[in-house]
Amino acid sequence: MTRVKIALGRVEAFAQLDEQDAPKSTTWLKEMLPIHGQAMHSMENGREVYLVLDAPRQIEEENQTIYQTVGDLIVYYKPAIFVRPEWPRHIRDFLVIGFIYERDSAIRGMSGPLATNLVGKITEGIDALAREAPRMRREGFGQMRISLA
Amino acid sequence: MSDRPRDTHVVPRKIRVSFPDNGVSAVADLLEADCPHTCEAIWDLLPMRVTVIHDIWSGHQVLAHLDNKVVLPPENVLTYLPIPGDIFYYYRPPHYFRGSPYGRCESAEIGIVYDRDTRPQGPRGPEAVSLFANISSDLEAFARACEDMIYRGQRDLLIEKAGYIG
Repeated sequence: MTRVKIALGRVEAFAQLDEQDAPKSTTWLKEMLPIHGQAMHSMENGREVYLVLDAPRQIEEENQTIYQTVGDLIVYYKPAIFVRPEWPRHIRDFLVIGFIYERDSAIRGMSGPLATNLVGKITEGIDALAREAPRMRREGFGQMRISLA
Repeated sequence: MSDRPRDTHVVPRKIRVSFPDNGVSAVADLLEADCPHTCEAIWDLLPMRVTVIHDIWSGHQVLAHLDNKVVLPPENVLTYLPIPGDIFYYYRPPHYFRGSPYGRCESAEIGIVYDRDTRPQGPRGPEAVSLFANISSDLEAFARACEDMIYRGQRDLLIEKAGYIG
């Protein structure tokens, strides 16, 4: 299994990609790595941190779930209204990669639960992420980098 | 003692909400006819300087925690969709939610909705809140400052009496 490093602000964590159940998504993701950009905290889903991806091609639905749990590494199209204040009205959503760092979180769309591609699981450092994300929420969000470990 | 006028239908009160760090402010009308006790209680607390943080469950909404002693009964309860500019009071007793959302086991708070596609929610789903005011001017700039908190984090908010309209 491929291991990736997630660096958020002052902390690092590691995740295992689920290449068996999400072969297309993980293959695509490995081609995208390293990913680096502005980290954002969810305003609608609870304890989720994500970054917007600039990907030219459509990501297929694969290994989907609406029951996200702590440590899930997910890829999905987030409604644009929850991403940018001045989003162009012809853009419906943005491709994002994110993770869930605490319970009581559920990804939702405009009218209900939103299925996400489960591409991996954080196996190390989730506690550090769970401390860092609220700190950045108070003090300001910085960068996130996801790379091969 | 409150300086509330006798005839609130003639002279409804207004409050100003402003961010001292950037000078952005907006004015809200108190909904005294529908939410008299909450309006009175909040009015008597003013002026107050609070820390606001962006909500993580509700959408386009920021919230400020009050002293937990500010416990008010539900009034003019809004359970579904607020409109941009709505300002509400909400209280959750100790251990109402699992864990301590926003670092608080118990919380009295004021929420401000700054854009559409928002619904007051917590870890257990939609929550009923007491709608007591609505921003009637300068919402646009105030909304941009609120959304900016997603990136910049929490900031101070000044809430003060803004007088009456005749």
